[in-house]
Amino acid sequence: MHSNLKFKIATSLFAYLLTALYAAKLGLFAFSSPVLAQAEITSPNYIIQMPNLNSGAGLPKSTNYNVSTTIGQNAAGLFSSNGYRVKAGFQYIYSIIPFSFTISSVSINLGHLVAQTPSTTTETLTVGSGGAGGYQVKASENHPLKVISSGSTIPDTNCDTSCSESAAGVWSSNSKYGFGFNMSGNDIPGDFINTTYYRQFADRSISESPQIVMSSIYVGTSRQSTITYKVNISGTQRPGIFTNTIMYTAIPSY
Amino acid sequence: MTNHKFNKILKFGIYVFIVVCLEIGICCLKFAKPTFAQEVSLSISPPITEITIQPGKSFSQTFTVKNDGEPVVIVPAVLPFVPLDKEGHVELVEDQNSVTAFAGWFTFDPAPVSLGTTGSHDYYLKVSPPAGAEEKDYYFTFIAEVQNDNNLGFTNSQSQVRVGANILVNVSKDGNPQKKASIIKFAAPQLIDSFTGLTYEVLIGNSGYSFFKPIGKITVDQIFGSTSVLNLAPLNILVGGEREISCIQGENLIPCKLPGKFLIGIYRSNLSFTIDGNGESVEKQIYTIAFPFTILFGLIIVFIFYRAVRKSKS
Repeated sequence: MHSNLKFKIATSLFAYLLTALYAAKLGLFAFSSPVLAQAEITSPNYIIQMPNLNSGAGLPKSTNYNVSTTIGQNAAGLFSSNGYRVKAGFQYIYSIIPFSFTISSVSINLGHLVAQTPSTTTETLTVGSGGAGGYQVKASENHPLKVISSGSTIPDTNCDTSCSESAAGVWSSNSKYGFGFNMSGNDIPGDFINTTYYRQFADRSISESPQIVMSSIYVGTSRQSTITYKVNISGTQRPGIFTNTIMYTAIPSY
Repeated sequence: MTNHKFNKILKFGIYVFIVVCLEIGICCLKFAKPTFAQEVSLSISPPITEITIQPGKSFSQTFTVKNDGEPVVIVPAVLPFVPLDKEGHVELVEDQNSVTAFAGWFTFDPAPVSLGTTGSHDYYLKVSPPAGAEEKDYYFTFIAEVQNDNNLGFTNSQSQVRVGANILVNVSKDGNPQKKASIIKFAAPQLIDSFTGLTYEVLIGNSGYSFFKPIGKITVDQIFGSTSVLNLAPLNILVGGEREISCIQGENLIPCKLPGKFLIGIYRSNLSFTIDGNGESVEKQIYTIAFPFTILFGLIIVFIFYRAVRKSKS
């Protein structure tokens, strides 16, 4: 009887612990699911009526940034006592809108690769250049897709006939192998004529310069493009976990 | 087997069943909602800072970096840049020699900073050209870079994000660097159809010793007619470079295009601007003739058709 009671307590505890453990696991997944926070610009718009502050010693700072301010300017060609003149922000744009860049996912899962069966995945790039005159987004890879431990690589695509990091080409053949990308949407390079046109990423490991994938000379509040990554391997491709890092650099125009 | 033992076995069986079900459920959750799909959304302000500074002096600027995506860790950097093209785009110079050459110019906290969703961080950047710095222009970009590791255990590309804001520095002892502008190109078609519109190309060069903005306009006079004005956008032109200048309407940059649906006659277009709004005006004039060629061709076709019909009747 006594041992029966012990067994009952032990099984109840075991059941309780298991339930708690799984509840915690489930909760963890629920809370760690991606928060798809859309970039939101909530700053109020101000017009600085007297942009020439002439304070000299002050910093153009605070959460409501004094865009289009001029500090330390007494008259053209003269320094304030501090020895500098500064203009912050574009003088013809009065709105307080930061320059913003959003990428829908930082991890591009290329999935389980099957020979001669291209794998594609997409993500979205969004640029807000409302507070700047224009912008550029450049992209480059640290190296081609590579198994770090063995050095085995999936080379950058040469498309069906030819393409490079700066010129797109048609890539529709399943017997042409490699890794590349296509772009569609706003402000993309003109050589992405349609969804069959692909480029290589500029490869920094062989000193290729990052290439522009989005750009405009005009002000835009929510310019959006879709980038499609594509990888296709041959039957002789050595297996492994292939990885690389694509660097996106978004900078307003000067 | 007694009822008591049977109950125990049954209870154990139920627990095993629940455990297996939960394990399968969690596996499904893992595949249905991958936790690696992380959005990154960064903003930076101000987008540009223009400084004219004496060698040996210092100025501090605040750059605010805000995160509207998932929590990230960011690291700051300052990189020199050179103009990439005629459109105001930059080419970062990332080789270590160039970066370290200016390491003494900038003071900021290089430590990685964690930014939660909607979190922001103010970077205080002190710019201090050394006393012996040559009097000329120096161009930099302040960069905020998201740190991440590619160690996900499956075939993937990892995206790394950087946002930047440009810093134009002119080092000058007297604050009066010599600025010189030239009109590389001011062009429009000499002959246009009345319905095609009149669009101008403006390319201005900088042959001086400091960056400047053209402050001016294109004045379009129709001979014996009205006058229109297109305002030039005050865009920075860097030393030794050229820049295509667009026009501005309110806060919007627009192509320099004469408004109006129907143009006819001779148009005299005068480009005039000053450097940063000071000094002598730089000017150039061009002429364009607008004629309704479309209407003329239409009339010719109608006339030919009419003649053909009359001929066939007679």
